[in-house]
Amino acid sequence: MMRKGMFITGLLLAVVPLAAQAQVPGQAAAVGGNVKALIEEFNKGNYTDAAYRFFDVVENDANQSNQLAAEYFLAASLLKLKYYQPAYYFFSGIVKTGPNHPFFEKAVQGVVEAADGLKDDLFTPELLMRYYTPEFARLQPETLNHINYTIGELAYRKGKHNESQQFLGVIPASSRYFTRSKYLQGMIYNKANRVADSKVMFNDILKATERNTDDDYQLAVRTLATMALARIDYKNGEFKQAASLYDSVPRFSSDWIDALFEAGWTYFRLEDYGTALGRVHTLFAPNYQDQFQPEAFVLKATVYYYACLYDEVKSILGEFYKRYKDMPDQLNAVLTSQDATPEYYFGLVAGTPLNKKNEVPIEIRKHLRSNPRFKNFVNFWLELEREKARIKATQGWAGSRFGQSMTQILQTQSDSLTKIIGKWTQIRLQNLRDSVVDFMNQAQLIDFETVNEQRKQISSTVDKTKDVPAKKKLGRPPVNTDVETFWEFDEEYWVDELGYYYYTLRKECK
Amino acid sequence: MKKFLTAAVVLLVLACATFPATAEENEKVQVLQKKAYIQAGKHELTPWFSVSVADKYTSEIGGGLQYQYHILESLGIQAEGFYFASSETSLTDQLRGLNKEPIEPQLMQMVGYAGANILWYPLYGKLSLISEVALSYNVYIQGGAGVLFSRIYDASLDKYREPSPQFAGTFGVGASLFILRWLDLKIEIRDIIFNASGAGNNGGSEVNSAIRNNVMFNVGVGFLL
Repeated sequence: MMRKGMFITGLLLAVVPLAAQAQVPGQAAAVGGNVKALIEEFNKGNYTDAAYRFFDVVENDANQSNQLAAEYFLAASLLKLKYYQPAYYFFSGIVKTGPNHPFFEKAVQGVVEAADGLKDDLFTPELLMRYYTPEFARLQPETLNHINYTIGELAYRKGKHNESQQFLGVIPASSRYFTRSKYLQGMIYNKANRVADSKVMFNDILKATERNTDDDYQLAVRTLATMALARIDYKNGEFKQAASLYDSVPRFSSDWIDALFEAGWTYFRLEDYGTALGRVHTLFAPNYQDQFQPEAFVLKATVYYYACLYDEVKSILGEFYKRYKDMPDQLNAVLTSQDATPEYYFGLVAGTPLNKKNEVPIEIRKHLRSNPRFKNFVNFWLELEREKARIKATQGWAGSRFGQSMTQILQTQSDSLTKIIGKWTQIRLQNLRDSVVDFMNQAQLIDFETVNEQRKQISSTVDKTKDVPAKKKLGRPPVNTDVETFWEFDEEYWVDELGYYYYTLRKECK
Repeated sequence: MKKFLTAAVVLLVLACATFPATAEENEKVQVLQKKAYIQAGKHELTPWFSVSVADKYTSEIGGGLQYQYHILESLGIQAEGFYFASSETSLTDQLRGLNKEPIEPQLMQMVGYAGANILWYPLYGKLSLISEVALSYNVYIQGGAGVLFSRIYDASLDKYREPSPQFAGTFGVGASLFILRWLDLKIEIRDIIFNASGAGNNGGSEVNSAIRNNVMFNVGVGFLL
C-alpha cells in the first residue's frame, strides 16, 4: 500500500505545477552569527575555507540550527569544489533525515548534481527511490524528471516493470529524459510481448529526434531505438525492414558494430549471401582485430556452408578454432582461481591497463571495458581516486580531521565500488565463457555437417573421367555509376570503405 | 640472332608469369559505396588564378570566373571569362635591342578571353592523406572555343595596338579535389590556341601569321551551388 501511495505521488508530482521557491526555512533563519559569517564566505566563493569551517560546526556546534545549516552548506561547498562524493555523502545525510530538514529540497537537488559528477547509477537511484516524497514537487521540473527517470530505470533493472512504467510515463515530451523513458517503456512492452505498443514507443523516439542531431545523448537513444525496431522486425520475420533499419545506424556510432553483425544475419535470412558476408567483413578489418566476435566466424561459416563452399567453411572454422579454442579454459582458470575475490576480478579488467597482459585474453578485456555500464563504474571509481589525491594536495586539509574524514568517506565508497565492479566483472566473465563454449559447439556442428557434405560429394555418381569445365570468372554487382563508386578490395582497408563491402560469391550447390 | 631469341623467350616467360591466372576463386570482395560528392545537376562557380607557362616572347598572369553546369556525373558545360595582365619577356627586349625583333604574331599578348567549353570526367578516384582522411578527386578533359582579346606593343610608336577580337580554341586537362560537399580545389593546364596574324619583323609590310599556343596553368576554387 505504501508503495502504491508513493507511485501515485510520483504521478501527481509530475502534473502539479512547481510551487513558488521555498522561503528560507524558519529554523535556518535562527542560525548563529558564526554560521552567518561562514555563509557570507560561501557566498563570496571562498569554498575551501568555508567547507573546512562548516565541518567544524557540524562536528562541534551544539546549536541544532547551526548544525542543520552547516550540514547543508558544507555539502554545497564541497559540490562547488567538485568533491562530488563527500558532497553526496552530506547531501544524502540530509535527504535521509527527511522533509523536516530545512534544506531537504536543496539537498535532493544537490544529490542529483553530485551523482551527475560521479556518473553514479548505482547508489543514487536507490536513495531517491527510498526517500521519494511529495516535497519533490518543489524541485525544478527537469530535476524531478531526472529523478523520475532514474527511479524508473532502477525499477526496470530490478524487473519491476509496472513500477517502472509509472515513473517513466509521467516524463513530459519537453524533457531531455523523454526519449530515454520512451526507450525503457518500449523495452518493457517488448518483454511483455506487446509488440505493437513497443514499436509505437520506439517510433516515437525516431519522430522526436533528428537523424543527424548534434546531441550525442539523443543520437545514442535514437540509435538504440533503431536497433530495437530492427530486432523486433527480425524476430517477426520481416527481414527487409530489419535490414533497412540496421543499415540506417550511423557509421562508427556505439552500436554500429552490433548493427553490422546483426545485419549480416538478416541478409543471410534474405539469402543475400554477398551482402551478409560484406557486412561482417568490416569486423575483420585491422581497426577491429581485437574485437570479441566469435559469432562473426560462425556467421561466415554458415553462409559458406549454405553456398556449398566447403573449403571456405573449413578455412574460416580453422581461424575460429585458432583464436577461440583455448579461451574457455583460460576463463575457467580465472573463474575457479583460489584468489577469486571481487577485488581480484576488479584487478583483472579495470585495474590492469590494456597494454599489460594478464590471465584474461585481451579481447575479453576490451569487450568488457567497452560496456557503457562498466565505463560508468570505472569513471566513478577514477573520480573517487582523483578526489582523494586532491584532498592530499589541498593545503590545510591533508592531515587535518576534516581531510581524514573526507578521505575516509572516499575510501569507504571506493572499497564498496571495487567490490561491485569486481562482482560485475565476474558475472560477465562467466557469461562470456558460456557464450564461447556455445559458439564452439555451433562451429563443431557446422564442421560435422561440412564433412558429411564433402563425403557425399566425393562418393557421388558424377563421372569423374570427364573434364571439369573451368569456373567462370566472377562478375561484379550492378553499379549505378551516377551515385555509387565501385572499388576492388585488395586487402587494404580504407576507413571510408568500412561498412560498404560486398562479396560476389560463387554458389557450388548442385 | 641466338641472343635475340633467348631474350624473347625470357620476356615471354616473364609475361606469362605476371599475367593473372584465369580466375578459379570462389569469392571476390568489393567495395560498393555511395559517392561522397555528387555533381550531376549542380551548378558551380569557380574563380581562377591563371599564369602562363613556357613563356617565350610574351607572358600573361591574371584570373577569371567560370560558371559550370554538370549535366551528368561525367559531363559538364562551362562559360568563362578571363582577364590577363600581359607583358613582353626579357628575351623580347634583348632581341629588340639586337634588331632581331620577332614577327608581330609572336608578340601578340593575350588581354582577355571569353568562351565556352565541354568537360568530360573519365576518372574518379580517392587518395589517402596520412592514412587519416580519404580525399576524393576527379580528372577531366576539356575542350572549347571562344573569343580572344589581344594587344601588340609597337616599339616605333611606343604604344599598344589592339587588333580585332579573334576566334580561339582551348584544350586542357585538370583535376578537382573535393574538400567539402560544396567546395573543391581545381588545378588545370590549358592551352589557348589561336591563329595570330600581323606585320613582319620591324614593322615590315608583309603579313605573317603563326599558330600560337598559350599554355596556362590555372588554379581555382569551385563552389558547388
